[in-house]
Amino acid sequence: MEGNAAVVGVGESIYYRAGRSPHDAFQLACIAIRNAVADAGLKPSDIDGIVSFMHNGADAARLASVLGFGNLRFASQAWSGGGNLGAQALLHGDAAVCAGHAKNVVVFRSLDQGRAGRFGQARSIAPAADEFAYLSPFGAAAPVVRNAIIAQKFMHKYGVSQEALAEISLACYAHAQHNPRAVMYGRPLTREDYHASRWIAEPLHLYDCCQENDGAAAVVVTTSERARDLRQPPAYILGGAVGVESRAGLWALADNAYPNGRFHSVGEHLWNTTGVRPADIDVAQFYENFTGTTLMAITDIGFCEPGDVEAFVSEGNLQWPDGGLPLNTSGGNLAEAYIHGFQLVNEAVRQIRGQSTCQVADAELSLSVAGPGTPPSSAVLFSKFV
Amino acid sequence: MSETSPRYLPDEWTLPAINDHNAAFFTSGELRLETCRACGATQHPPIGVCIECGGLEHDYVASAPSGVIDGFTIVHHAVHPLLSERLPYNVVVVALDGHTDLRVVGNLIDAAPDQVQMGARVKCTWTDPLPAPNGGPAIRLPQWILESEDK
Repeated sequence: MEGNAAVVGVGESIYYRAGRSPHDAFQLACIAIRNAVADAGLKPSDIDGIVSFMHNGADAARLASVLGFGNLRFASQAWSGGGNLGAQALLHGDAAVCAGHAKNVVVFRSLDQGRAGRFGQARSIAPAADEFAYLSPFGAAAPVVRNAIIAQKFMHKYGVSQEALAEISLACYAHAQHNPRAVMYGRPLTREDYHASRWIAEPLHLYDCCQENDGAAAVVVTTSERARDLRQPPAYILGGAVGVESRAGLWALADNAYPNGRFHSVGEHLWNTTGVRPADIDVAQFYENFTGTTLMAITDIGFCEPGDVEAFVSEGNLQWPDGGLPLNTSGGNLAEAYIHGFQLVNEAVRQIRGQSTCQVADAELSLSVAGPGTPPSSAVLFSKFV
Repeated sequence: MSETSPRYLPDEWTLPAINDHNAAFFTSGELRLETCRACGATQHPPIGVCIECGGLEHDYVASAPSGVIDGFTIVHHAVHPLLSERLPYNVVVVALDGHTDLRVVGNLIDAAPDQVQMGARVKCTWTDPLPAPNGGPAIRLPQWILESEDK
């Protein structure tokens, strides 16, 4: 049953620009996980489950052994894609503790782009296989190019202007100025700076693109019952959803979700199973690999119709403290750090605890959304109350 | 015999890894699309299993080499050093004539950035044969030209 688990610990490494970390991905993972376990008031030996997504420079057994976990009863990885998996990975932890497969599960992501290769670059000119055979030979060889195409199509289809993209970026940078963990702390962004920045791939300016970083973020999930006795106020998992609609998981911009639509089923399931509505959400963390795709996620999941998205994000509506939906209150992928979006889960939890550097007053419902970009999309909704 | 043109991106740039399903598309000099022998459905990119009926046997049937630009970007940042000499370059998504919702990714050649527009009609040409990195038949990539500029 949903609502039976909670996040009880959050932890991070220092976040670095790609290539600046003195530590590799395995070391960064250990730092973040140790911090999350300590934050929960638990000992490493209390941990008996671990979840991640994609490669982290480590397998579960080695991490558990090095960190001094107890008997490792549960280990899994969320599957298919990349930045869409942050919330899905958390839901593996939710499932594991609710089903009794484990008592205290760590969920994390660790990135070392300096050593393993930058996500924003085409790392090889080797013959392109599978989906990439239809993309890379034509220069769609990095995520920014593919996301630029769908952003352009979305803007064309629904009459969205560059200003709407700017609003995402401006909100992230504004919030990062309050967050000493943020890589862009002390680096404010004005609307003029945004428009003056160079094109990467039209319609995406430099400031529409997430950072490339080294670092790790981790959380601890346990049952609501056990959560009550721990150190921190629990962030209860009220609901979650993963989804890819029929035939929206095909290849090379040939899927049914082109250009948007990757979150319709996620929103439907989330709102239907929790009884919550978008208007009830106090604060939201939306994955922004690129600002254009974030606009799509906001509309698809149900906050507004696509044609109304520019009005929805304008007039400071996304900016703390006065906006109606403060978005990416730690700075997000754009301005805090790109830990493949998993740091957005940590921030959603902090909002429930009252510990954000852009704390929304009396936040009771805190949403964290992973993706789009690659399917299936995922989202998790935290509540202050069971 | 199809028209040919020099490759839009540098000759040394990434080529597709050829397999049983994509060889027809990338080596024939025609827009050969995966077509199910059991139910006749056409799909792209090819994947070897029909998304309509699950069929595993396919023919690779030439499609009309024309369509409409249904998505594009102008790339200004080199995501690999080999591409820096070609900036800015375009990437287009072409919705093919004669199909519903069937799109192919490529490049619009002989066009200035401001000529790359949604809804523009385009026709297909092919690169001169490019040696396949892993051997086998030469690769010929589809490339697109504006119909109004058709010579």
